[in-house]
Amino acid sequence: MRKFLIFLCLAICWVVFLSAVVEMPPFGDPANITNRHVVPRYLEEGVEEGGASNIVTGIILNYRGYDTMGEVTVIFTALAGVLAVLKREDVKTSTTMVATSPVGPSLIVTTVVKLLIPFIVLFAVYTILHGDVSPGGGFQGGAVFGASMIHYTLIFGLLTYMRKIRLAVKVPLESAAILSFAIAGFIGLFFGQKFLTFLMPALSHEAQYLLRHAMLLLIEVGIGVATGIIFGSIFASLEKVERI
Amino acid sequence: MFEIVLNSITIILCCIGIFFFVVGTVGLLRLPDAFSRLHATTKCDTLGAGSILVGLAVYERGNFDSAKLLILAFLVLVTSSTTGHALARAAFKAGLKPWRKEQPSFPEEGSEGAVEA
Repeated sequence: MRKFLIFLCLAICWVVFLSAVVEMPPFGDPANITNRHVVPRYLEEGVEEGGASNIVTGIILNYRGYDTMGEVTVIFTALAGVLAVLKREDVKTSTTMVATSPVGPSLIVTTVVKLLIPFIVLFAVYTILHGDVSPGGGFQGGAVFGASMIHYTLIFGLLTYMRKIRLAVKVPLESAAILSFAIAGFIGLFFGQKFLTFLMPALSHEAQYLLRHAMLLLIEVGIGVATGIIFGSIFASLEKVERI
Repeated sequence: MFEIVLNSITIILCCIGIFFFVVGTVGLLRLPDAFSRLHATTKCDTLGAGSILVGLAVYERGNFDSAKLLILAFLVLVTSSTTGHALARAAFKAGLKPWRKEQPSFPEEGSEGAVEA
């Protein structure tokens, strides 16, 4: 009886969902409502209005700038949460497993990491700067940059990391993403438009395009640097061991 | 004629790569402990992916793309063998005993568990 009831419920659900699927518009049809609303505008004028030849970047940073600004804030809040619970690492009181372990890192791994880290950072910079022409951008490049710092910390210990990237440098850079977004947003206000609107009617066509491009680059670099540094900071807070 | 030779080199190298991937997968599933499994799976990346990438570099006839593929092959060669080394070293330093065919004098359940960990 129970099994029959289960079967009946499943059958009813199946029929309902299947009828819903039948009602759905065909996938990828240009006549779909979703494809007629904003997509043509994005595709036709996205390069011009967005300021980036990669339309995805233009949409993320320009048309949906508020959303991306929220994402950046989420990452910053994650860092704030981690720091509120775990506190920052400190030169005087913290150490790592690497420093205290009797085994120590392997010579092979140390050599290879030393060899590869410049290339990883180079790739991160490339990904950040190439966000407006090819897949990539601030978040991805920043993640690669953060991964390189995590590698470095795992091999050479937290103390070397603290010596290389000091708190006085790190703390301002952590907020670089939100700051660059705010600066780019207020440029819009300066020209009498809304916040985060990249339209500057007072300027000529070429100057607008150039300025838009520069603003996107500013935001991209800000996101990249901040994401990487925040990754490193979160990792350092998680990695540190209180020295006894 | 030259084309045929180059294409056959590509095909042979790719077949070698596929062979090593298959062997590595079988080794991962069949071998008894972490060390021998690592030994099998690092072959997948170094020899398998490496020879496939070199074969594709031959297929690209030495242009810029094939240079990229060779760099990739070098990267895979370096990083994958380093990863294998680091994992095996960590397992050894953590006290994992390598598997032996004859279990040392006390064949209990405990020794099996130690190998699995």
